[in-house]
Amino acid sequence: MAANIIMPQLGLTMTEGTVVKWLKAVGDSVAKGEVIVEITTDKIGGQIEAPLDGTLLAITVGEGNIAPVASTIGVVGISGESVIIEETAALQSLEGNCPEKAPSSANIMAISHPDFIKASPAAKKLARDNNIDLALVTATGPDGRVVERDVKAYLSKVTAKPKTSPLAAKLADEHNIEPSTINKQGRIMSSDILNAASKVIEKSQKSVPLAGIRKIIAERMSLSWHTAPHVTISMAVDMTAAAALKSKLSQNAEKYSFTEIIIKCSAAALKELPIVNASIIDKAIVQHQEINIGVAVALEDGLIVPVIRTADKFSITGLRDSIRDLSTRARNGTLTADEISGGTFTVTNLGMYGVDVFTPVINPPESAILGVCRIQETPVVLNGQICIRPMMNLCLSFDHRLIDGALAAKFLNRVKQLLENPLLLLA
Amino acid sequence: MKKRVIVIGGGPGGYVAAIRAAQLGADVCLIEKDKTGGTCLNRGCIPTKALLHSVELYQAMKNGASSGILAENLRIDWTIVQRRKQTIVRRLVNGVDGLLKANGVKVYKGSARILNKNAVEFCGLQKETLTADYIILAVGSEPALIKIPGADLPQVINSTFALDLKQIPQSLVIIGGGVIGMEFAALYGAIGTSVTIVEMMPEILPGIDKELAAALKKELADEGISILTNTKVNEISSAGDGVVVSIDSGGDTRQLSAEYVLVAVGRRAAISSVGLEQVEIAVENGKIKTNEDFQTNISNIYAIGDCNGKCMLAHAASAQGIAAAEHALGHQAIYMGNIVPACIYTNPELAAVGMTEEQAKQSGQEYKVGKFPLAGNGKALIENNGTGFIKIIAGAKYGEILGVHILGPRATDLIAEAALAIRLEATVDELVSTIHAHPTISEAMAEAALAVNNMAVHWPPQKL
Repeated sequence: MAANIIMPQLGLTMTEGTVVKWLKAVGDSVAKGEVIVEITTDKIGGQIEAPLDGTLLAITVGEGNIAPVASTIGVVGISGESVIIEETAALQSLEGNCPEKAPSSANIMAISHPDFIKASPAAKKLARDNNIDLALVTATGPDGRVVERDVKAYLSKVTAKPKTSPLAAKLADEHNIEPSTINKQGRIMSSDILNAASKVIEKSQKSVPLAGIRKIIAERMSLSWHTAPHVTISMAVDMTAAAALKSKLSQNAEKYSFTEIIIKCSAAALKELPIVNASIIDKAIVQHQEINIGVAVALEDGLIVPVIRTADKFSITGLRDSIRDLSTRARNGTLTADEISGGTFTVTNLGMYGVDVFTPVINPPESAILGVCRIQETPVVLNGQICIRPMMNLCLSFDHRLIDGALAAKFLNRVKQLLENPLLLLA
Repeated sequence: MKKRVIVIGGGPGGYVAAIRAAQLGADVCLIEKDKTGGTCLNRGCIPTKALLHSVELYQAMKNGASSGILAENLRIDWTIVQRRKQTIVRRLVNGVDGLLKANGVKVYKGSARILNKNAVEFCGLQKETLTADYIILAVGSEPALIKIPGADLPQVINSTFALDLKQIPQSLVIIGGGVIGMEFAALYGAIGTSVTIVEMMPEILPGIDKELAAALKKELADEGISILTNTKVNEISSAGDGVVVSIDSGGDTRQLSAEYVLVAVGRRAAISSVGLEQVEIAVENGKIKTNEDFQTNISNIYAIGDCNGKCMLAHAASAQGIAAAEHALGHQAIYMGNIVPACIYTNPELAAVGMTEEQAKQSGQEYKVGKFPLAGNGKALIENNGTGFIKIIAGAKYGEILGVHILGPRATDLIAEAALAIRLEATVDELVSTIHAHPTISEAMAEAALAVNNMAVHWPPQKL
């Protein structure tokens, strides 16, 4: 009995998912529990396992296409079993949003096992001798029976050499191009080979299709950049007091980092200046009730921003534990969709990479993002004296549609103030 | 709803365009102010070749002694020669009319004038306004004039007039050493006229491979035709029944007496009366400007053949006519303007297709030359004592045929193989491995291909 492969719901807000990659081809045998397809939502990736032992009989949603949650994207069953798929709702490909029909039942039927194809003994022998899959042969015999001439016709079609001009043949030899790979009706001329050769040169520059998390990042960054007029301001923060706090907290072998201290201060500043904790949604300014701070986590193949909900209600220790849990699971790929949505502000730290200044891109629909740079011992003038202090730049990118420069400066200055005098957090 | 096409001009460009448009299902009108067939049939290719054929027979008889043909009292009846020419022309013109009719093309005899981009005024026995989705201009060309004193004398004639001379002239000065001038020189020079060609440029036959042009010049000089290059005509004056032509060869001035002066300095597009200005069709250097699909700046109006000046040859006009009709009616057209054979009907004939050696040199690509003298070909020896040669220009690396140039008997027929070879991107290998029948002059084509790599069989290896 065949079983459908269903697009799962990875989080409460997920309504559709994209098929990233089929790890099995139609006709491959699969074992129950074996991962057969990778999917992704706009925020998170996932894998789907085979529901039973058998053969992947059909793929109804190809790579790069979107399917609604709970819809069928493929079928696993016993080899030779015939499968009927109802036409699902029109699917959309991500690129053009052009509706694309799911394959009809007729297409799926054709995948059934060759043993079940009606064919004459001569046709079967010829197919066997030439290693031809009878399913690929167009039948012209009575009742759709494949006869010998059909196999012969197929054989001559696949083995036919394209007509090539003598000059083109010589050029093809030199450029190591197989003329039959050129898609052209009629005689292949020198210009066709030279065109193909120039494409091969381009190919050697390695082109990988934009897919999966990279594609999502690309789309979201473009959306942000093209929607929100970005302005970035930066301030130098004296981290002496914050460093003292960090070392005090870390006394019981419990490691703390500056990240949780900076998030704590940011949450406090957001609470005081709630307009920074807002979004423009459908031409309305939405001031968020919760302060949900996203923390950018670098992955091997991209970037993910898990969200600490109601970050202002956490202690520094609570923040530390939360960040640790979220970033571990971000790297494992086990975050739920809800854990990577609903952010109202983001903190991104490039300090560990030695960055002194950068202009972070806002994570839409948020209105601001705080970039954290490295801490460096720097000579500064304090009370008329040159002294060495651990200095750090904070870079705040904000959406100028919603936040003006003065407000942004006031907010950033408040974060600076809190970091330089953490005791104020108690006020 | 059938597309409506009006073709203006019924020469080899226009009538072919009309037939192709009709074949493709269009409703076609063709407007011709004179006879169908245009310059080619009535005043160009066909009548000159008809006269040249008579002259060739005469020469063969005259020189037939060595072949065992002895003729006494050999003479030319010019009236019969002219009558035969007329008969052939009339037959071909009738043939074109019949083809147009058979294809359902409506022929309007009279002048045409564009009114707007979709309408043409026809003026014949009555006036009528014809409308069309597409207009194909195939209005052709006329002999170019020269501006020198005496150019308007009655003895100063153009090629049209030179075809209809009532008698064989005693003497003829031809101004212009191009194809038309050379053919008339060959024609009249062979039947007793004293012919002098006056060419302003240092070489005759511009655009022809220099080696062949020089060889042909020598052949014609040997026949008694005087060819003066680097020479210009200052003045023509009347002297008795004839004229005196004052020429200047780099300061050395002379006077030539002649019965007629034939002005053969090229042709110019005949575009003055067709109403181009009504729709502001772009004209450049006196020719209608077109894109590679032969569309003018008004996209539903095409211009083909001599009037666009791309290539003033009848077969190019026909090919352009087909391409324009196909393009207009939504078909994919192929016109390869770089592979147009050119033929000169002198004795010996000259024919060429593709790149000359000068063009190959200028293009900067590496090339090789293979040459085979027709003295090494049995059939050529039989036909004309083996005068002439075949020259092949081929790419150095792959041996692709870039150009083929033939001087010799039947050159104008032999060139077809070369044109096909270039069109199909053949290399010397295919010309060599194609079996050529024996005994034919075409064998020399394979030999010339072999000679590209110095491997000719019937000629000793060349010292390199």
